[in-house]
Parts: sequence; C-alpha cells; structure tokens
Amino acid sequence: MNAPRHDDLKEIYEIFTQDHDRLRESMMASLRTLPPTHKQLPWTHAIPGRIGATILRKKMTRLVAAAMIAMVIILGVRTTNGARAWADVVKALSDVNDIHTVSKRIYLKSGTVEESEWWLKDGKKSRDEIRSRDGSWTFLEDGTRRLRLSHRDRTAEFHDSEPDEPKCWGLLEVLRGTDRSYSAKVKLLGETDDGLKIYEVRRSLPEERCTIIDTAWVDPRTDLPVRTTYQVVDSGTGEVRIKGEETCDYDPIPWELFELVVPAGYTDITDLQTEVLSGTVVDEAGQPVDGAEVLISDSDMKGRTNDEGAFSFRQPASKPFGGFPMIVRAIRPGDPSHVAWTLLRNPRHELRPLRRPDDGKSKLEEGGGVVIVLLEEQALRAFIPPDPGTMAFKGQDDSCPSKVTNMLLTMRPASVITGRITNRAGHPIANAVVRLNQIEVAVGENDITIITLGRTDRERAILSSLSPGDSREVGARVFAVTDEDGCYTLGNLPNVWHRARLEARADGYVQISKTILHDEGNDFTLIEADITVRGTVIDNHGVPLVGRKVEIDVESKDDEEADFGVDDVIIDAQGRFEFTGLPAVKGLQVQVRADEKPYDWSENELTRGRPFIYYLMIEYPIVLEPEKREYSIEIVASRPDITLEIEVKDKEDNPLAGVPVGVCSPGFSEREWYIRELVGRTDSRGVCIINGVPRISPLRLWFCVPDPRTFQDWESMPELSGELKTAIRECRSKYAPSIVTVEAQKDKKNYAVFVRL
Amino acid sequence: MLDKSTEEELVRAVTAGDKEAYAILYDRLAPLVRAVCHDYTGNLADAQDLAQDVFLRAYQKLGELRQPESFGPWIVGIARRRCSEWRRQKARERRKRAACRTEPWVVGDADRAEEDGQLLRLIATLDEDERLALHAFYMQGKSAEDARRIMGLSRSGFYRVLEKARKRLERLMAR
Repeated sequence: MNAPRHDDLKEIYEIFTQDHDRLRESMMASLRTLPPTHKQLPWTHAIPGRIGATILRKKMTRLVAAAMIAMVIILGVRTTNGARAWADVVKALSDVNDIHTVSKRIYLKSGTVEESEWWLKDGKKSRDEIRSRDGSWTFLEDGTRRLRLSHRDRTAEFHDSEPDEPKCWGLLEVLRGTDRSYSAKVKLLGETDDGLKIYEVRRSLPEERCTIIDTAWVDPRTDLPVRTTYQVVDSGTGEVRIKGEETCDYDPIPWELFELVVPAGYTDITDLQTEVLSGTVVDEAGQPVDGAEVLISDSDMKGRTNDEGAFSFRQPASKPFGGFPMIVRAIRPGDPSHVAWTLLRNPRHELRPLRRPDDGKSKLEEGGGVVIVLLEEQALRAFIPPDPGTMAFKGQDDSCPSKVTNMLLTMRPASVITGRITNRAGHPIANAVVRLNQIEVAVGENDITIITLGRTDRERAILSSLSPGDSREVGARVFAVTDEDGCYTLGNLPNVWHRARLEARADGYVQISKTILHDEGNDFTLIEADITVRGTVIDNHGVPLVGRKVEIDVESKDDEEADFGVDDVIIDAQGRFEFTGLPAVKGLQVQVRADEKPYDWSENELTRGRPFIYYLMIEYPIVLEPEKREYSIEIVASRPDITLEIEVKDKEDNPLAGVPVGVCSPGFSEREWYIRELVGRTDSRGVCIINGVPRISPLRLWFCVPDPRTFQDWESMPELSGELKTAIRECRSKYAPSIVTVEAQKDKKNYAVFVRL
Repeated sequence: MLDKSTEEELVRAVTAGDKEAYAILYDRLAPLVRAVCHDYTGNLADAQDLAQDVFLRAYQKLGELRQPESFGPWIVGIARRRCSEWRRQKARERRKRAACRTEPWVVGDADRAEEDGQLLRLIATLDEDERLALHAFYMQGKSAEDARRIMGLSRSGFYRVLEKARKRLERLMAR
C-alpha cells in the first residue's frame, strides 16, 4: 500500500457517516421512550457507585485495589520527605508474615458504605470476607486450591488456583517494592498525640486523569501501618471519585482460618460441573498417549490424558461453552516435535460473508482466538479429522453446541520454530522471552489465523517465576525463554503454518516484534537499552526552562521493526533532565517542548506574574559514539525577541482603533503556539505593538478575525477573552478579515507592518 | 437556530428537556464515536450498534456531566469504556452468541473496501491517542480546533500527536 494521502484518509472516514440518518432516527426513537435527563447532584453519580461495587464484588479487583494502595505506599520510597523512614515501613511490610485487614470500608457517593475483611498468611494463604449490596462471599485460598462460598445461595465451589492471577503473594511482591511501574511522592506529615507517624503518599495517574492520595498512620515501634485512608481525586474537576479507609493488625493468624472446608448447611456444587469436551489422544500407530496435555485456544482450561489416552474438560453447567471456531491441541510435555490438533467448527453455524476482491465468495468465522477466512469448504473438511467429536446441543437451542465428546486426536510431527537471540555484538542473550503472538495456517485455500493457542503447564511455571510486571504473558499466548546460548524453541505448532508474528524482549534491551515466514528470520538481534542522556535546558538569558517538557524520541534507522516510543520528563527547578535505558540506535533525539499550552503548568511563568514565553521547539539530535553510554548535553533556547509594530488604517487613510490583531505560526506541525499572549488591539493611533514573538519565518498576522486556517472555532476558544471576542465581532461586521505574511530576517528584531482594511 | 449552538448550549438544552438538541449533538459526534468503536470491533455493524448504545447511555447520564462544554471528550470516554466492556463481554459470551451471528458485512466497492478495511485495521494498531487524533481530524465537518478539544490537548500537542500518527501509519503501510 502507498502512504495515505490526506484526501484518501478523508474518504475512508466517510464509512462512518454511512446510514447516519437512519441511525439517528433509530436513536431518537429510542430516546423518546426515555424520561428526560436532568442535572444531578454531584454525589448522586452512578459511576463511582459502580466502581465501588465492582471493586468489592470481585476478588481480583478487590485485591488489585488493595494492592494499589499498598503500591502507592511502597513506591513513594524514592522521593522526598520521610523517604528514609518510609523505607523502613516497606521493609517491615515485606518481612511480616501475617496481615489482617480488620476492616476495610469504601464510601460511595450514594452514601453507601461497602465493607470487607481479609487475612493473608505466608504470602499464599488468604481469606476474604466480602459484604456488598449484591450479597456476601467468602473466598479461601491455600495456594493450590480455592473455595468460593456464597452466603446468599448457601453454596460452595472448589476451583484450581491460577498461578498467574494476582493473589496474596502478588500483593507481597508489591510490598517488597519490586514493581516500579508507578512513581509516588511520600511526605511525612507529622505525628499523632499517641505517637503514630502520619505519611501522605500521592500518585498521579495521568491516563486515568486522577490522583490517588493516601494517608498512612504508622506505628513507630513496628514500622507497620495500622490505618490507611485513600481518596481518588479527579485531576480535572478536583472531585473525589471514591474514598475509603482500612485498619490492619499483624497478630499471628491461626491456620484454621484458611482451611478449605465446606460449612454445614452449604451445598458443594463443585461436582455439579458437567463434562463439556472429551476425547482420546492416540499416536500415529493408534496407541493411546498417556499424560498428554490438552489445550484449547483462547482458554486457560487444561486437561491431561489418562493411561487410556482419554481426556475430559469439566465446568459448571451454567457457564456457556462452545467458543467456535476452536483449536484443540494435545502435546506430550517435553516433546516439542509432535502435536495432535484439530479445528472445531459449529456445523450449524452460518458463516458471515466476507467479500474479497478475488472471488467475492469468501466467508468468515471468528471466535475463540481463531479467525478463519474460508474459501473452499471442501478443503477445510478434508483437513478436519473424520471424527472430530460428537456435538450436543442444549434444549431447543440448536444454534450453539453445549458439549463435544468422543474427539479423536492423533499425534503427528509438529512444526518447531527455533531461533537465537543475540545482541548486536553477536553475543547470545539468555533468559530472553520470545512470544508467539499469532500464527497463520493455510489449509487448502483457507487461511486460519490463530491468536491464542492455550497455555501449557511449562509456560504456567515460567509465568509464575517471572516478576509480576510480566502480565503481558497473560492471555494463553505461547512463549519460550532462551537458554544460555540464546536459543529458544517454540514447539508443538500445527505443521501447516506459513507466517507467524513473534515478539522478543530481554532485560536491558528494547523489545522487538516481527513477522517471520516459515523457517526464515527466526533469529533476533536485540538492541541494548543502556544509553543515558542527561542535561540542562536554559534560555539565552541563563534562565532554566522550569516545568517545560523534554521528550526523547527515537526513530530507528537501524531496524524498522523496533518501536521505541517516546518518553518525556519535566525539567526540574535547576533546569535539569535525565533519561535512562535508551536504545543505542541512530535517530536518538531530544526535543524540548516549549510551545505547550501555558495553563497546563502549575508553576509556569503566568503564576509568577510574567507572560508565558513562547520558546520554539528545540530538536537536539544525539550523535552516538562507540562505547560511550552517557551523554550530557546543554540545550540553550532562544527567548523570543521579535517586536511587531503594526499600523492599521481604513481606505481613507484614517487610523483604525480597537482592531483585533494577532500573530500565529505559518503552519500547524511543531511550530504552532498558543494564541493568548500574542494578540492585541490597535490604539487610537491605529497602532498595535506585539512583543516576544518567536523567531520563525514567515509569521502570519491576522486582522479582525483569527486566522481561519488554524482557528476556525475562535468563538468557543477560552483562550480569547470575552472582550476580544466582542471586538472581533464588531470588526468583522465592518471590515473583511485579512492575513498578512511577514518574513523574519536574521538578527532583525523590530518589524513595522502596515495594513489597510 | 440550534444548529449553530455550541456543545455547551446544546447540552444545557437537552438537560432542560429539549431532546431535539441531542439530535444535533448526535449529528456532530456520532461518526467520531463510530470510528472509536470500530477500533475495538473491527467491523462497521458492531461499531454502529455500540455507538447507538453509547449515545443512549450518554443521554441517560447527561445530568452528571459537570462541564457541558466537554461533551465531546466525555462521550469519547464513554465510548472507550463501553467498547472495552463490549470486548470483555464478547470474550465471555462469544461461545454462545458470536457463533450464532449471521449479519452480513457491509458490501461496497470491492477493491476499495478491501483497502479501506486494511487501512482502518492498521489505524486500529496505533496508540489510542494517535487513533483518536486521526479519527477526530479526518471526520467530516471536524475542525482542528474541535479535534484538539476532544483530545483535551493544546493545538500544538494535538498536531504533534497527529503528525506522529501519520508517520507511524506511513511506516506500517510501507511494511
């Protein structure tokens, strides 16, 4: 495909206006059945209520919420006041064996208070008591099994523990401070009368547009928090979205509390699980395969064959089953070179037509992490084993199967992707992770894209040994870890694939992903992320550009596949900045964003009583030198120094007073700047002087109405004062708007401009 | 008369009981919301359905909107949440429902539609901000000023994101 042209993109976007009138009519018809919407009081919002309910209802979200608070507490250790003392708190929390959250309350805006209590022992045994409006539950976890008690239904259900699901040990990992995803500011606020130290921890979450403010009361004898409160504050409105508090103790917790026992009067519904998929795995000689793992695409369900080669998947009857199309694979642990696999499709499923340029007859089926583009039904049928199983359907619903039994999977030679990960010096990288993001299989004329294959026990084991930050592995993707020689093996793959998408990463290197063709390009060269760039940004008057943003941008000229992204930091009070962990590739460039919206900065020039200065963006390419890993640079910004003296007259040569005049940049790209400070009105002599204009050329001056090319919607722009808007309207009613271009010349600061309206 | 009103005025009119004002908001923003939803669904039919749902939800929650002038960013936020919810729901219920779905894909000019689909799929692989910048900028009737307000960015910030999105798209297409 060629690069997109502006008009092409515009045309493509017209697809979203298709059927607009009909859709609007339909929407308005629905609207008429609804009561009118009214302004509500802030504390009657529904969203925070739902957030709270969701947090409390689900164990995982609840733990995550708890983890979040702890994370906020822990990660503040790196910053500011009380950091040293806070480090002791982190250590105490990571050393403690028993944690009991005696009471946790979340206050919702509706006035409802949600309560819970939980216990943690030795990092893996936990007990949660959840009481919410929707009911109450107890979750018991012993590290291998989990028991869920529903007190409303009086039912008990056992499940296997999922090693990669955030549990208590996950929280402890956070308490140990291993997760560096967040940064927080910790401040020691003081002490209570009874000697508890009070810390405040602030964490800003720009993506969520909120700040979490925690307060912790710490017992100085144990360095453990005995009470914490938190509130989530909306960054835009300052409104408290949700708040809560919890109290903790650290007394020894008896083991009995964690026993997975069904209480009297409760019905164990574990056995009510029904078989949803079953079959047999055989080798090429037709002999049963014992101990084979059976995996399902887009699923974490696992099965293992018995000595008769039989396997069976069970799940609660209420849970829907039948994610078709579905890839079922069986593998022998430790043997990457064989696989038994098949594709299950719902025989009663009508495929969706997918029009293709070649024949217009293709059909599409997707689901369960599998996408099939089907051209020839016959070719696909030939590929599916003759006995893919017997499908059962629930009741009268014959559109979706509820059960597949008697599958026969035959072990055959598998495809194995092997490769090597090295650095640019050719040295192998051990413990690098290679992940198979998708494979494309060709069956006859059909294309099958398999996105998730189902995770093996070995992968589960690797997952549990990876740090909690490796949640990227979640999602039943296949992955491998390189050995000492940097070699990896992704095995047990259907042997008819023709294209695969792989991703490789390792500590200290930049992640890379690429598409490989069969047996081609399986090796990766990872680029070291070991460059540090630090420096200062001052202007030509020696003033540091405090609070401005510095970005590091990398556009690799070495490897087009690598996407390094952009990182940014704020210049500190001394004018300094620092970036670490950068890749050593050509195209490394530092940019100072001096044209950011001035009102975004809390301590910008405006609040110090000076006009915002429109420094132009500075781009500073880093020239890499062999063996040099640290670069110190000094960036000097030029303070805008152009003065425009603008004179405006009418046709009769009379000076025009009160005419709005402004300066804007010639094009959009990086050289745009904000409008507020660079506008004015002519005085009684018809003259307007604008100072501090950045030195770019050409400059565009507008008269009467802001340049329509860049400010179409000037009436709604808060940056223009009401007085100026009135002047613009007045001027517009009398004169035609005008644009004048001024060429700025080197070393010339003062320009006189004459305009006749 | 309402046609030239600002979003703030329209939102105030709706909360005062004027449902027709909501139709104007719909005209202005529904294509953008469909584009945002398309990033999640990959097909137009689902994106249209989701966009309808987003507007209905937004209507019911309009009283909670504290800054009526921020209706655009607000509804885009609702669309993102609704689409994430849809995606999760789809993963859960796909087994039951998607297998039964029979609605046809939208049929148009063959080659063109195929290429459009490919381009839209590439756009869907961009970062969220980059996608939104393209959607907002290229949607008919949207000015750069509208687009940057929807993203809550300064003009320069917006153009930076837009430029980055274009460059990345170009690189993706070159592969």
